[in-house]
Amino acid sequence: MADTQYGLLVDYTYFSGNHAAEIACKEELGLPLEQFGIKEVQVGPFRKGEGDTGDAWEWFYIPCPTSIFSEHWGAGGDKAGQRPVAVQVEESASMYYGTLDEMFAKMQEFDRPTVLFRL
Amino acid sequence: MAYSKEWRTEMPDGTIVTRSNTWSPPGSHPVGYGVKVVTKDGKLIRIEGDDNNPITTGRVNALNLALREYTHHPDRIIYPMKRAVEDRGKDKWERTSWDECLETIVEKVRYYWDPANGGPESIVCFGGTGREACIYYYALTFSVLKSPNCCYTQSGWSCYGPRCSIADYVLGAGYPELDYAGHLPGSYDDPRYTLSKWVVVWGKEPLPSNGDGFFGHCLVDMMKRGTHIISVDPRVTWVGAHDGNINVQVRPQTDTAFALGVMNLMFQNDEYDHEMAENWIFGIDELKERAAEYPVEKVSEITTVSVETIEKVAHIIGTERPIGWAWGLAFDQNKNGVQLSQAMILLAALAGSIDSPGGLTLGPPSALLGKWRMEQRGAMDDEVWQKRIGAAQWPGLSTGMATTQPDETLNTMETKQPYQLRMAWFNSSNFLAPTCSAQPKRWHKALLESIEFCVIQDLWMTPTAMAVGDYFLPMATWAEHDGIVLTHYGRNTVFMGPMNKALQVGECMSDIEICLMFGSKLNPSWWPWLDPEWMPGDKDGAAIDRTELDKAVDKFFSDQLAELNMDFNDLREEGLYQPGAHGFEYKKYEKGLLRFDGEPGFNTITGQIEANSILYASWGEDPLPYYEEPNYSQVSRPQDAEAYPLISTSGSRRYSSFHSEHRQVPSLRQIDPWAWVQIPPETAKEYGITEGDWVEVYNMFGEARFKAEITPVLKPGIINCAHGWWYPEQDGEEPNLFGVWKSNFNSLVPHQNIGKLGFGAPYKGVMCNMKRVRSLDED
Repeated sequence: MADTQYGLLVDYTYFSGNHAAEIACKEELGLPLEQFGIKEVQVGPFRKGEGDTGDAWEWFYIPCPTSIFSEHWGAGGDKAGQRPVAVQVEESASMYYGTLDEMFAKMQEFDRPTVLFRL
Repeated sequence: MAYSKEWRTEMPDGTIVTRSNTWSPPGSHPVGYGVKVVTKDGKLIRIEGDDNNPITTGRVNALNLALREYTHHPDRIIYPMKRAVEDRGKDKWERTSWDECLETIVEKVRYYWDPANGGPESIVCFGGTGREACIYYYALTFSVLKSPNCCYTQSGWSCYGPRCSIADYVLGAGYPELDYAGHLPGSYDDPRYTLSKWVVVWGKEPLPSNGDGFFGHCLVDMMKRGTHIISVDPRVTWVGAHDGNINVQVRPQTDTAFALGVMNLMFQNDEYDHEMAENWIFGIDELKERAAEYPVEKVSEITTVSVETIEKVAHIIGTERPIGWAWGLAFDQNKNGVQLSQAMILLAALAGSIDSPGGLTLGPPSALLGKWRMEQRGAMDDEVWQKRIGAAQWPGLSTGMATTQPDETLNTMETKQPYQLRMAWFNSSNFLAPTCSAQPKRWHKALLESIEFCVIQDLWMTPTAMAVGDYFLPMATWAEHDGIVLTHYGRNTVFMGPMNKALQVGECMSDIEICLMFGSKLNPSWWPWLDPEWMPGDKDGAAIDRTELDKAVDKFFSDQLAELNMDFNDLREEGLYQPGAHGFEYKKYEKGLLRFDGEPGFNTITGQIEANSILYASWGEDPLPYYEEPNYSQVSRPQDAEAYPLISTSGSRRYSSFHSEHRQVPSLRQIDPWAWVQIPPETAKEYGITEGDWVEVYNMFGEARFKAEITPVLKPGIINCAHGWWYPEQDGEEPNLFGVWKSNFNSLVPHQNIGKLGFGAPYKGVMCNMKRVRSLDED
C-alpha cells in the first residue's frame, strides 16, 4: 500500500555504535563513500554525577535514517516493508523496522527511552 | 529456527547465496558470524546476516560487511609475486606462477634443511594473531618446513598465550570462557542455563574485539536480560557507563594488586564459596596469608581506586550468584600478568564460577583442529625440537606454548647465536607495523641482516612485506575458501561452524591449501591428502585446475571431523555444531570428565586449582600470586618522573580495523581516518592540546604521532594510544615503508621487559610524555 507509513525504532540505551548498519546500508543501496542511508550520531561520554557507577555517565549513539533511507524504506519506497540488511546485521540488535503502527506498539514494550523515526 | 540442508541457493536472477561462518582473512578472531555471501558472475555483491545462527542471529560486524570493498580492492595482491633479494624495500615486484613458487621455495627449504646450510632450525615461521593462521602456521612450521621455530613476535608473548598457559598450569583446563550460552542450542532460554547476575569484564573490550571467538555483543544481550557489569579498566567503557554498572578505573598495570585486595576482603568478610575453597583449591591457607598482605587501603593507594569501590566489588563477587568473567588482553600485556591470571582464576573459583552455568565454561587444553595443530610437532626429531629458540631458558613459557620465546627470537637474529636464522616465512603477520613486536626497528634491522630468503603469505603489500619479502603468496579471504571455524582454536569449543567457499579471486589460496601444496611435496607422509605430484599448472599462464586440490581440502576437513562421526559435508548441512546438543556437561571436575585419567578433579599435578603452584615453584617463580610495580612507572623510576610524567596504555580495539588491517578499505577508514590518542581534558588543558591536534608521544625508547581525542573516560595523567597504524596511501618503498614508523606505538615499548616465566610485557602501560606538533610529518 503506497500510503502505509513506516518507522524505524531504536532502543538507544543498548545501541552500541558499531557502524554495521552504516556499512550495510551503503552496500545494500550501492551508495558512494560520502553518502549514508544510516548515520550514527554520538552523545557523550560526559559525566553527569559523582561516583564510579554507570549512573554517573551519559554515553549513547543513535543510528539516524537519512532521506535516502526514507526514500527506499518509507511510504511508497521500492523497499517499503522489506527488512533492511542494516536492521538485520546491527550488532546490538537494537533497531526495529516495520509499519508505524507496529513500531508504535513495539515502543510500548520497553520500559526505557526509545526513539521512533517516522520515515 | 533450524538450518536447512541447502547451504547454497541460486536465485532466479542468477545471484548465488552461500551460507557460511566468518573467520579470516580479513583479520578477525574465530567469532564465526553466521552470514550469507551474495555473489554474481564470480563477484562478491554483498554480505548479509544469517538469522538461523543461534549465537549471532543475523548480526554481522562492520569489518565483514565491508568485505566487497576489501575483496575487489585494486591494491589487493591476487597473483603470486617475486622480487630479487637485492631489491628488498623497492617496489620491484613481478608476477610469477604458483608452479614457479613451489619449485623455487621447495628447493630453498631443502637447501636450508641440509646441516651444512643451517639445518631445519635455521628456518623460522612468523604468525599473526587471532586469524586462521593460528591453526595453520604451527602446521606450516612443524610438519611442512620441519622447523622447531614457530614465532609470534610479541614481547613476552603478550596476547592470549599467557592466559591459556596459566589456565593450563593452575586450573588444568583449556581457556575458561564467560558462559554466554553459546554452546547450548537453546541459547539463553536453554533450561540448563542461568543468566549471570554480574559479569566482571576485566581488561577487555569484547564488543569491537570478539576476542578468540567470544561474540562480544552477547554482553549487550545479557545486559538487556538483566546482567550487570563490573568493568575493570583504566577507561570508563561504553558497557561500564550503563546504569547500575560499576567502573573500576585501575592505574594501568596495577590489576594484580586490585585482584589480591578483593580476595583479601572476601576472606576477611567470610564471603566466598567454602565448598570450592576447601575441596578444590590447593594451598588455600597460604593464599589467605598472601592475600592478607594486601589490605584495602594499600590496594587503593596502588591502584588509585577508592576503598569504597574495592569493598563494593568484593561484596558483590563474594555474595551474588552467578558471577561471569570476561578476562582480556590486559592480563597478557603486563609483566605481572602471570600472577594476575592466577589470581583471577582463584577469584572465579572463590565466586563459584568455575564450569558452572552463567559463570565460566571449560574445555580440554586442545581439541579437534587445535589438537591436530599441536600433534604436528611429532614431525620433528627430538634433536631438532630441542633447538627451539628460548625453550631451554624459558621452561615456564615453552611448556605451555609450542613456539619460540619471542624476545629470544630477536636476540637470536641480532647475535646469530646459538645459530643464524636464514629463512623466514611470514604467515599473516605485519609485525613491523605496531601490532605485536616491541622495538620494531630492531626487528627490521635484524631481519635484513639475518634472513637470506623470505616468503610472505598475505593479501596486501604491507610495510613488512615491502621491507623484507622475496616471494609473495596471495591468500584467499574466508569467503574464498572452505574451512572450519571454532572458538578458542580448540581450547574451549563453544561452537564449530563450516566456512563455505563462495567465490575465487585471482589465484588466491587459503592457509590449508598452501600447507597442502608445500606439505605434500616436502613431507608427504604428514600431508597425505594431496598427491605430491600435483601442480597448479599455471606456469604458462594457464588457469589453475583446482579439482584435485579441492578434493584434498574436503578430505582433510572430513578427517578432522571423523571423531564426531561426521564429514565436512555433514557439517555444512548441519549448519553449526554446538557441544550442548552432543552431551556437554557443567561441573566436569566433579564427574571425572576433565582429567585425562578419568578421575574427578582438575588436570593439574595436585588435581586441584593451584593457588600454590607446583609448576611455578619448579621454574623459580613464587608459587602464589603477588603484585609487582611495573618497571616503567613514575613509582619505580622517580628519577624519570619529571621527564615522563604520563602513562600510556595501548592496544584497545575499534570497529574500523583488526590490528594493522583494513586501513585501505574506504568505508572503514572513513570511520577512523588517523591514528588517535585519547587524552583526558585536564591533561589536554595542561599541555595546551585541543581536539584534533597532532601530538607526539615519546619516552626513553621511542616516539609516535597521533591525532588528539579529548575524552573524560581516562583519569588525569593517563593516555591511550592507537596501535596497528600505517598509511597504505603513502610511499611504500624504504625508508618510508608506507609511513610505518610514524605512528608506531610499539617503538615506546621496551624489548624483553618480561616476567620470570617469559610472559608479559608492558604494552598497556609505559611512562611517557607528549608534545603538540604541526602534523604527522612536520614539527
